[in-house]
Amino acid sequence: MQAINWILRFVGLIFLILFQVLVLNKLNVGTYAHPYVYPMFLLLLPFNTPKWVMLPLAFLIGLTIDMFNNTPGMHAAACVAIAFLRPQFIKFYTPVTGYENVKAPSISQLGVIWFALFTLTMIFIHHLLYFFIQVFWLKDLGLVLLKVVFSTALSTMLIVILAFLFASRKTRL
Amino acid sequence: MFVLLEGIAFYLIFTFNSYHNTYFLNSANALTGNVLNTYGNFQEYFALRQVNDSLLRENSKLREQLFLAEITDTTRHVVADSTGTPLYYYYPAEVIGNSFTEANNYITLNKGSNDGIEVDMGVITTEGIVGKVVKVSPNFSMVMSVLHSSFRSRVGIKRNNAAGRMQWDGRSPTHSNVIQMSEPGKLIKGDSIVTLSISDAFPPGILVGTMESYDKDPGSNYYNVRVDLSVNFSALRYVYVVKELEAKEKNELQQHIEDAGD
Repeated sequence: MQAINWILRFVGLIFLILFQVLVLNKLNVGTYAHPYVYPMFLLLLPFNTPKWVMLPLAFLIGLTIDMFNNTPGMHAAACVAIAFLRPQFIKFYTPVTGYENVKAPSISQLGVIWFALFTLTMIFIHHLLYFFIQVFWLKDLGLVLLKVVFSTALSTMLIVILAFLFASRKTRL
Repeated sequence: MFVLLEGIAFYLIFTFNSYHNTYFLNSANALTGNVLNTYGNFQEYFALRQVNDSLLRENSKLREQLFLAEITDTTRHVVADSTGTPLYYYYPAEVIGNSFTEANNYITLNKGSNDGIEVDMGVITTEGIVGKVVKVSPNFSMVMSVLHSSFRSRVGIKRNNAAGRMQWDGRSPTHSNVIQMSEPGKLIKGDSIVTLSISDAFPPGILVGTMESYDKDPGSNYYNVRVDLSVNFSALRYVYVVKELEAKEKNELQQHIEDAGD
């Protein structure tokens, strides 16, 4: 069961990367909104994923996106950071009932509000780091912040929608 | 481990632009190139109508130029010198990867060193200039777009050859800027901005865009011009890579002049 779960996760990952690179990166939603949904894979990993798996995985996924985007290191840096901070936020968002019997973040078990808040926080950090690394110097601070805000909103919305789609497919299986 | 991985990531960020001939971690490598190329082939079918239209338009433009050349012997589109030796060679290529929303944008083409593409060649479309080749692998190449903070080119006003330096401010994918433009006459909004014979990598007279607005640089006699780019970067498909046939000779001469000036 565990193995099948991981295979499904990696199929999902390939879908996410292709969706990101071939569809979302070519989308022109205005100057400020550039959605990145591929970190969703990192968000959905089981709670007990060890750090030595999580961090290198985050690095490799980020690097793959970087290769397509010609932004070497930028997505990798942002991904490693959210992978590193994830356990803290999972702890911070512990529901009143705790995480009993819940193995990984999911809408069906933890509810839309929990999932959306968790996604929003992680994506916000990812985008904040990414867009700041991209510009590097603190010029155009306003422009960068606008990009972060609009892109975070759009990415979070897309991830919640995708999570609904994935979830319904899993319950049917 | 966190520190180590972040260290590697930042090392990559800082060194990416300094190594000219590595093509491992960019969109011109075999893996990313082939994924993008396959998808491009698949997508091509859905764009046949637009491609057809743009070819028709190009065709009619070429006919018009041919007609003009016959009756006026214009030297505006210098493709050959007076002895009939061609000065430029155009390699057609297809855009398989394209970013225009980043702070530094690149374009991936499906032609590489096997097809004769070299670093520093200019890239244009029938609409205008697109960028310069910065990395080449055997089958793919990577182009620094006009929408890149390091892109520089000498361009000027078509009407009177007033020249300035083109560089992008990172804001909008439809606009760029020409800074430090001299002012030999009156600036007029809507003037065509084109490449000049002093622009390296591009033939003279290739359209860049039209002047949208201008303001005087405080403290100098130069002007800063905002340019509405003629190329729509969100819909790039076919481009031409320009090989300047006497580029080497020209560069050596320029180097010589610079050395002499020192």
